[in-house]
Amino acid sequence: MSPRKIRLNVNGIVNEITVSEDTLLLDALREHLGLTGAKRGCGKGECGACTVLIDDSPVMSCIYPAIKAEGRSVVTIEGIGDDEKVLHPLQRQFVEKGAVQCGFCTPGLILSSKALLDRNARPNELEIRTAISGNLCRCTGYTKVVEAIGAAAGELRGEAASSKRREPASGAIGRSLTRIDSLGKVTGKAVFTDDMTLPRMLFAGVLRSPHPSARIVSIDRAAALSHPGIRAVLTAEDIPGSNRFGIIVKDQPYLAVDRVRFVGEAIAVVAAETKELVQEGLDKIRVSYEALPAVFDPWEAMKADAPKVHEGGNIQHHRKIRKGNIEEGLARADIVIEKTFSSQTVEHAYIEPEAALAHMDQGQMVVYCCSQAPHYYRNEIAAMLAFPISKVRIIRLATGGGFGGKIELSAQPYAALCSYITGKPVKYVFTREESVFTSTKRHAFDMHYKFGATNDGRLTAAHVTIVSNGGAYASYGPAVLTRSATMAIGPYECPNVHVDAYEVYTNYPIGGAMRGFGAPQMSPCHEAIIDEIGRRCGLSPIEVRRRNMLRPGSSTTTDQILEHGVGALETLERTSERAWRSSGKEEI
Amino acid sequence: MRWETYRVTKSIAEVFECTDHFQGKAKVIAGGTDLVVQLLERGQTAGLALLDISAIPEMRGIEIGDDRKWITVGAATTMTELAQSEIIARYGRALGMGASCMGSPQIRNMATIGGNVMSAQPAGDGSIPLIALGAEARVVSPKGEKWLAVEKLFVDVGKSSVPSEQIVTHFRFKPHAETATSSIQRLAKRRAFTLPTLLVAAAVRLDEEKRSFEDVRIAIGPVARTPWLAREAADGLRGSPVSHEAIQKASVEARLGASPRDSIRGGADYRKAMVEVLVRRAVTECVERLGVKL
Repeated sequence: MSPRKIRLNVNGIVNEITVSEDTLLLDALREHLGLTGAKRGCGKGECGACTVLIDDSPVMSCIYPAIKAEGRSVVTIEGIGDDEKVLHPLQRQFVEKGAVQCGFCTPGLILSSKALLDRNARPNELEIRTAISGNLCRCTGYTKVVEAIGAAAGELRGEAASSKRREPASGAIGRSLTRIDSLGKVTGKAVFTDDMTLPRMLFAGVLRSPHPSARIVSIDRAAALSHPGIRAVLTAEDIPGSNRFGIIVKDQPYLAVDRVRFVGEAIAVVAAETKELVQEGLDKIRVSYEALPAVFDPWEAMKADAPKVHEGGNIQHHRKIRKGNIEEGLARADIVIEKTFSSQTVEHAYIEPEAALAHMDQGQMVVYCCSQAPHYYRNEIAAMLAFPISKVRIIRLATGGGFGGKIELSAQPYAALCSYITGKPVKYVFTREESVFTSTKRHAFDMHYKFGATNDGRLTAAHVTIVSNGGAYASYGPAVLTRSATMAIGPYECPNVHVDAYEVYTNYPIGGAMRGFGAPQMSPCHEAIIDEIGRRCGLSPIEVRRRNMLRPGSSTTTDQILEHGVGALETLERTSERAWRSSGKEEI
Repeated sequence: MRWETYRVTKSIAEVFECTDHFQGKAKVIAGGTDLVVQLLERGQTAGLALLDISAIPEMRGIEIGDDRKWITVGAATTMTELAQSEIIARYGRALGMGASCMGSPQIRNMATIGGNVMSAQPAGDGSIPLIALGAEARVVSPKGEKWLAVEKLFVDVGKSSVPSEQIVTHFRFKPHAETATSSIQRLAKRRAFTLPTLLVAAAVRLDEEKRSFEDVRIAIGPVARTPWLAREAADGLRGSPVSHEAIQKASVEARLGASPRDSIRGGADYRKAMVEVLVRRAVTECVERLGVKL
């Protein structure tokens, strides 16, 4: 396929660039013109992070052939205002209203909004929400984004800025701060990992298991090394140091040895001069598998005859809480309520896929990446390379959403290993599919609850069993489980508590850290039961909670005596008071 | 490599020249919102040449003839253009409503009505309204052209009856008369980024006194492997007085005739039950818009 010269009018400047017939506009902008404000979040025209304007209309540049853009006017975030002096009102209002969080979706949101305001000077809220309905944002919840767009519309109409926030005349307390990095994020200048390049940089990719459970019979990588541009094809045996990682239990290999335990498990890594050669290398690695029985259901996995995910057995962790005497507590109860709940796996779906760029700098391994836990990464990568930790440096770049998911290692060790072996900088960016297959999820739980209470609605006993589907490796699972167990009865006091929480290995995707860290699974369960107790005792939802809520002097499930700073009751009183007032109803 | 050649064509004649030149390796592409994604996912056949028709001037735009007999829509007209068109809002209302629900704003700016029909999905946000409007498609080959009813273009899920060496260049339908209108009812898990769980489009014409139904067409998807025209339901309404009872009877008829399947977007039983609800709502909305108090 012959390269083709095209003339692209971008932000009013005509550039002549040489592309392939199949180059996509997003790549032409990012790689040929260095305009990295448009981001790749999904590569499938879904998330809107790649939004640019073509002849004033927003399009998904990740599925827009570059050749098609010839003769049209392309506008990117860099073209609508790129420093403090010439910010577009939208950019200024996004900063001002706090509409910027991780910033990965921000350029796309601003461009979609600009197209709206260019044809509609006075949009209503529905029109604003429709205009940005093709831009997924996982951080802001959109409220402040909608506010910022409305304010920008006002500014463009020449209206005086809406009432300023009430702030103290002097001093720091009570004063709103402008987010320190928001200017870079509204102009497209913030550097996310994939926005960075280094001279003579290689690209990496990982061969992943299609099987949930299999023995690796052989790996033949000879064919993959056939092309000179393919610089390394590495398997477990190429790792100089430790091939085991894990924040709590070191049970996970970077590259599989002998067997795989989930779909997406890494087997080999390829470093090559272009992304196309990476794919070619991956396609040519021959792995022979012998499929093994898999187990996905944690209850099945706990049975004695279940397939063993790990040699030591499938119950990876058992957390117990025993307080008072559960039998006595239940015997004393006038009401016993028993319910079973289950919750599903949840994916973080941060819009920026996992990414890392590693290079050796004077004997030190430097890894640029998105991260929520650079120190953990440093220790693990040092152990993997058999380096002292002083010889590993993790530099966290702008991180496009994490929500707990980017606390876990992802692309970094593979980029670092390839860089160490090849001596070149190596960049590895996950595809969206890789991100979904391999990222650690919120654990799916099965929960069995049995609460006892007296006729006046006071808890006497709480018996809870939790079974967590841990997936193939532990990750943050044991810590999540501990949180779930201690939070199992919510912000309530109960003299007799019995909790058994099990984290179970299965061949399911790995469970890990996610916002709330084990508590969100529990809340709907204890709240549903507290409501039920209220109904049975003829108490309002507020009153039954008031009678049981933790307060100074209360003893928690783990027998901690709370002394001060116990906000639950005050939160209940103040929110319920406000709710009643706004509902106009009388309190029941 | 996803494709070997990308040619932005300037005329229908050029498309046929290219089809000839690339000998079976050519594929017509419009907005590309489906096809590009498919090619990114699946790779491609060697030598694939994509012929972009989205900028052919004669295939773009919405026209109402001087005699007001037909509304003509170029196949390369985008969903956004349909959603924002005053002509469509007035004379082919359901089409504008459907177009405004498809994908996301960015996708609607790229995707075309021709692509929506040719992708041959059973519940296209453009196809279902077109079928309810009784639209025809102009199918052009190097040898000539013909107008075919849009519902005849569907063979199976993803499979169009139009051979690859022919192209659909335009759609046409009769504009709503004074006593006619159309509407859609769209059931989906979200307002954006989603295919419908169920999509119903109804076109209704009443007699001059607005007492009885003169003509009704109801298109529904996905309740079969291709868009489904609920003929019995519509026929039952024709000639009958405008009433809740008549609409309800037709809605039940539609439910009985529909054979949806289970999918991630909804169960078969649920969909079947909702056919009745959405048909009732769609026809009722048309009647009420025409000023009839039921």
